[in-house]
Parts: sequence; structure tokens; C-alpha cells
Amino acid sequence: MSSTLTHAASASWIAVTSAQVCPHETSYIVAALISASILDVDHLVFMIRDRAMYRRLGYQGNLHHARSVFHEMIGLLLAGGVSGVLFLFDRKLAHVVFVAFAVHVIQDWVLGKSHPLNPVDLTAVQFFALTFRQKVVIDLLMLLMFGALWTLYLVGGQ
Amino acid sequence: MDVIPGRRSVASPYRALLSLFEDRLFLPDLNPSYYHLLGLALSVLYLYARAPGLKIALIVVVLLADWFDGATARRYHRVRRAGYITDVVTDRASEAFLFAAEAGTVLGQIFFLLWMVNALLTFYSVYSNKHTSLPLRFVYIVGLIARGWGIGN
Repeated sequence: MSSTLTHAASASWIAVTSAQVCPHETSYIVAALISASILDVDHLVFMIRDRAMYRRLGYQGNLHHARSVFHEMIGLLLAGGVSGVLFLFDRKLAHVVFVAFAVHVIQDWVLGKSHPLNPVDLTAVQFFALTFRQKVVIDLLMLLMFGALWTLYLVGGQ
Repeated sequence: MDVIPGRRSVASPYRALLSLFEDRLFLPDLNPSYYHLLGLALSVLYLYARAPGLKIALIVVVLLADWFDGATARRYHRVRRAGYITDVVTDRASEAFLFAAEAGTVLGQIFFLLWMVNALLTFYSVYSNKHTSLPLRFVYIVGLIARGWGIGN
């Protein structure tokens, strides 16, 4: 599971560059940043609701419980539906919103533990059994890499 | 009990054909998730592909990765319900990127809608314990090749 900052940096960069958004088209960039990070609001909701459990068990290794169905396939489907509606008005916006959201969901699937078919099937899925330290290193490397890519994108477009 | 949704009889000939090749494949004893990761990474890369040849090549490699992950799991006795779910959600995620990239074309728009149907079928598969899905990427690649040859233009 990546940090919100890493999601914002990586998913939005992929969304913006794949949609061929120019650096001066700030509305699309803002939309990408919001779509790439808004999903993490649901962690907060669960962490506040289940704070007694987290105080007892700790956050490390238990954050996969702090996610709603929006972090799973249902979320991907809903993002597809919302983008489908946006597509009727602004194709580029639809692309940016869907890709940013989808990349976030998939990063969490790949790097953490999830229940992708929640609520129909609650089987826990883990692509790789990564340690907390490995996740932190991957997170930092991604943040550095996409930070550099954002800089190149913004400087190159001026 | 680790129940894995069974394949429908309509997929039997295709499965039989695949297993003919599968037995002769060199498959290292890897975590099948490496193939999932490769498939997902290439599907994201597809968002940037413009040349038809590159698009076809990317889908072919994604499909091969999809085959190899299942083949590796079968060869090394790692077939589990969690693995099945990983496989199907990876497939749906891969399709999502491929068809989102093509949403500028009518064919892409139709396939994006079909992807949503396929995602719902994934839920139905685990609910009914009977694997049900549309082979969208296979059909799409046929469409891409046909378009490349000028068929249907």
C-alpha cells in the first residue's frame, strides 16, 4: 500500500501524460491529482471508526482492513461509470479521472493486501509478501522517480 | 475450503489446446504475481502506444503473461482461490487500461462497455463458482489486426 503522496505523484503523472495534457492545462492536472488521491479518504474513515482496534493491534500490517469497496473492483467499476458520463462532455477529463483512479487502485492491489472482490468474496489477496521496510523503500523510490518525472514534464512544457 | 471456480465446458477445447503447448513450456518456479505485474505494467504502457504494431505486440505479451501465470501455478501446484482472484482482477485491470486507451474510437468505446460487463461477470464467477468471462483482449486483437489489414474499413 503506497502513501497518498506517492499515489498522487505517480497515478496523476501517468494519467496526465497518457492523455497528452499540456502543463498549462492546470484543470486537468488538478483533476488528475484529486482522482489519484481522493480514494485514500476512506482509510481515514475506517481508521477513525476502528481506532480502538488499531490502538490495540497497531497500524502496521492491518491497514488492509481500513478500506472500503471503493478501493476494490467495485471502485474501478464506479470510476468507469463516472468516466463514461464525463466522456460525453470532456473526453480528456474522462481519461484523466479514470486512469488516475485505476492506477491508485492497482498500486494498492500490487503492493499490499486487499479483498478485490469485496463484498461478494472476502478472500484476501496479496501479490507479493513484502515487508514493511520493503514497502517503505518502494514508496520512496516511486516518489523520487515520479517527482523527477513531474519536474521534467513541467519544465519541458514551458 | 479453497474452492476455485471451474471452467465452463465451452472453454474445454481451448484449454486442451493450451495444455498441449503448456507441457512443453519452460517455466521457472516463480511467484505467478511477477507475470501479473508484467501484464499490468505493459497494459499501463499501452496507454502511450500509438503505432498499431506496438499495440498488437503489447497485447500479445500481456496475453502471454496471463497464460504463463496460470501455467506456472498449475505446474508448481500453487492453484489457490486467492491466486484465481489475483488472476481475474489482474485481467480486468489490464482490460481497463487497454480499452481506456482506445476510448477515442468506437471500437474502444464498445470494448470499454464490455469491460464493465466482464467486471460484473467476475463477481458472478466467484459467486457461482463457475468461471465466466468474455475473451475481450483476444477479440480486440483480432479487431486490431483486421483494421491493420484494412478489413472492415
